[in-house]
Amino acid sequence: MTEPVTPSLPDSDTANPAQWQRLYPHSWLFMALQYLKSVIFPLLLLAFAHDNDNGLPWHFVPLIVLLATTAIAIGQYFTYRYRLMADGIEIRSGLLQRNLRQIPYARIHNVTVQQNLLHRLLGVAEARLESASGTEAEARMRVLRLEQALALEHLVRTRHGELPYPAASAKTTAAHALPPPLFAMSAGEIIRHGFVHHQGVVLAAAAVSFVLQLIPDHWLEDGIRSISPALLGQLFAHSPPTGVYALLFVIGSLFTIMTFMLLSVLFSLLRYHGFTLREQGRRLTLETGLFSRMRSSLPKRRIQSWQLREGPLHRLFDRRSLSVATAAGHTQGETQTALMNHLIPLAPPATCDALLRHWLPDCPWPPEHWQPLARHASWRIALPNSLLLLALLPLLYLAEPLLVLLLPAGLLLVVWLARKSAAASGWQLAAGHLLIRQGWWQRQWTLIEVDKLHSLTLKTSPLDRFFGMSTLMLDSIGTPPLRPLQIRYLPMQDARDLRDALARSMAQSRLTG
Amino acid sequence: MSSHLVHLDAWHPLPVRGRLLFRLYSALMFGTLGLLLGVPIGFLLAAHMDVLPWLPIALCELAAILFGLWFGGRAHHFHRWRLDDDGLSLCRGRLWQHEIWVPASRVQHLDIQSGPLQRRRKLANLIIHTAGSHANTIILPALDIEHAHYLHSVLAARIGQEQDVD
Repeated sequence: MTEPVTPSLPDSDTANPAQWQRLYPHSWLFMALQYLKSVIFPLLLLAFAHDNDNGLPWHFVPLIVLLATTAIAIGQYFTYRYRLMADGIEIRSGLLQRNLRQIPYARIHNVTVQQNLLHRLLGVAEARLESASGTEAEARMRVLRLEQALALEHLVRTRHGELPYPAASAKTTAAHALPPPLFAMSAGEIIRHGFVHHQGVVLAAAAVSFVLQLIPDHWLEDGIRSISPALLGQLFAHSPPTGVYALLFVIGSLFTIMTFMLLSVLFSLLRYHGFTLREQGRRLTLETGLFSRMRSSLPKRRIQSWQLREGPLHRLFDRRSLSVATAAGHTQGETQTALMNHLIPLAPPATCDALLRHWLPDCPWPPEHWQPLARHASWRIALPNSLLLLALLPLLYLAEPLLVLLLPAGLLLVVWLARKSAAASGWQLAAGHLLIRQGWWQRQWTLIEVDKLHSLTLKTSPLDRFFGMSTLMLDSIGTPPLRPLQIRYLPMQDARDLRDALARSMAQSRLTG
Repeated sequence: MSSHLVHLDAWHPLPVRGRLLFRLYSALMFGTLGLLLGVPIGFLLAAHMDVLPWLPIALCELAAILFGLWFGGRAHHFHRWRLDDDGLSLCRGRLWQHEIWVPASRVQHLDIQSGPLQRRRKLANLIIHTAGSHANTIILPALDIEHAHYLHSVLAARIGQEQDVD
């Protein structure tokens, strides 16, 4: 993304409200593309539909949809206007159902400027104004000229008092807008990210499902039918030694793994090429992407909790990932938010620790000493998995009676993993921060300011009670639904004491973000 | 008028006149579950043995409803709430115990809700919304309606004191 040009700020001294402005003249093209994107699969299926027995002209449907969306998009372009007032943005939209939205600058937490390849060719960008309310952006301006988008971003920040106002000249603005990056990803780091996060698998699965949707069903059936008897018959007729099969299998698997790895690296490259994280006053600004560039920023105080993660693949390269949960919109499907939440996609542990200390200066990180879980936590962790293993026993026996002999080894493995995991888990409460570490194979460290907790729940199941343990569940904003913030397997008394200590601290504090 | 009935730092049980509603609600839930389980079981048994399908279904349903009635009473019995200087606590469950605590400073807004059956018994639910994610709605069920209003006013007053400076 280019450097911000001098923003054309509306003069707040004059009483005249700013002029109503339109979006970029060819915006309708992008609106139409956006609509088409959501219906592209059914449309393609219709266009390639082979069996239209009922004689309806299905092939024309895509054309009609195309015309209709274009008409709607053009209509939207002509009805969508915005103006920048002294204290907020006003947006007028709609033809029949007229809508006037006023968004005060103070309520806008984040301005995202995003450019895909087509945007970049035309020198335009999509700007999204996000507020705390979360699920959806307050406004999506699709699309503005890049300078306009950057000016808007700058304007919101000057109104927040984060940047000097008004900007004196182009040079000072550029200098203020771009401090040296706090963290940047080198090419080597991005390749490592590809290996560690292996998102190529997802990409490959999506590609396969896409291809399967496009090709007519009978091709696949015919193909399989033609292959199976002939080819397999031939293979088995000659019956080469089993070694050949083993070799073929190994080569095939290696090839598949290599392909996935390459795809993963490609995926990481697309997403994280030119990844830079900058600190501008009270905000963190993140810029990333190879073809499709995204620039987003978030106020540091909106960060609710910090999470370091390290899996076995991370350990292979001596790396960790740092992500955050934020108060501003935790929509699931939005890539921008997801990207923003991965603050440091991959970095050496020392870099992660140093950045955490920089962002949380009061927090003693890493703590010298962790409070342990309950004494018998490892047995409590091992019990459900052991029971599962025992439940699988009849199935194993049916498949191959000899497999049952593996049971003691399996149980030992479960217990060993549980012991490791229990020993590697713990918590610490220090200087208004709660630190939690969890897991041994997949490690995870969570840092949260006690002030940012919203409620506490002490949970005890019958099994927990048998072992004298409790779970302390902590609720904060933006925790992912599948990974609740909790400390499990605490000694009952410790859990109660920790709950009381947190409660005292929470009661004294006010919400800070 | 009922403020003298709410003691700070004391655990309060739910009024006994709400127990029947708990029982009915629980019986309805378990009854549905019983039907979902009972119908396939009934038809399976009927296919393999010389019984009519409705007999196992009816037995299953009866057991589920009886269990629901008993369970609802127990669940009602083990609900406790407590107001203190800092916030509100709710304790529920016996086997699976939950002890929830919300500080008054984290309450976003409050609702009082009561259905027709609850209104006839002068009961109401107090619903506490926080900005959190998993436990962002905490329900105190079947409170005495005056307690509910009292808690509502106390907690709402404390929200007013602490404005989120944004």
